[in-house]
Amino acid sequence: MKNWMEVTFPALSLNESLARLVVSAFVLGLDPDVDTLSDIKTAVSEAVTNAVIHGYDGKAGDVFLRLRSEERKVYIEIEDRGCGIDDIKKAMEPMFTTKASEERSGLGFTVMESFMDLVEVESERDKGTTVRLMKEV
Amino acid sequence: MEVAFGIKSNVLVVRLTGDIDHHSCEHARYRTDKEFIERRLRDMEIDLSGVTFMDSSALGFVMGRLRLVKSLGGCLLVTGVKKEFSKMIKLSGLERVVDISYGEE
Repeated sequence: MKNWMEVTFPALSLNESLARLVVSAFVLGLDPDVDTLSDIKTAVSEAVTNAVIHGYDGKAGDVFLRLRSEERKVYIEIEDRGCGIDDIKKAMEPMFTTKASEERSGLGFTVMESFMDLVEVESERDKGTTVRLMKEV
Repeated sequence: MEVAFGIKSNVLVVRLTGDIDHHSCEHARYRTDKEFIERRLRDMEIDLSGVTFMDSSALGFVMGRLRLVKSLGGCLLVTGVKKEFSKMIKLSGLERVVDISYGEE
């Protein structure tokens, strides 16, 4: 069975929990085990947080969350149209952060990579960033 | 997320309950530091037994408190980590620098 949905919300930190709730509700339809659901929620929380604090850095903008499932595979896209990432490889290094003063651990992408089956990042300066995640439930 | 404070043999116990994310961390870290500094304590315990969700913001929170506590010559303890969050903690390497204990669940 195929299923999909899309939500758009403003880049407010308050909406990090909203994104987790939306994803949980969508994935619950596939009857995942507790750990898998928790992994997906965590990865989405990381990607949405990145969009809010790095993509838009406090400026107004929209975050697009697209969810799709095909059989047992869940595909998730988190897109922002913010500043983009110049060096994706560097951004994905464990402990690398441009916001150490705000106590960011620099582990967002590391968490996404270890909690999901697939992580892809596409980014262009001043155009924005799209993170694609996949996990089999 | 709720933040509650207690003092147990001169250690500030910071009990976090609910979901820890970037949004909820902001105010928790401000309140925790204020409490810790105003009470002039040296050691801190972060009790995570009531946490229902955490992303890497929680790691940033622990690392930030570790820095503060160490700068004042004290020790930081993290307690009550649920099994489901051990993967996150292990990823961070926090176990090498903070005393972490896992809760029953």
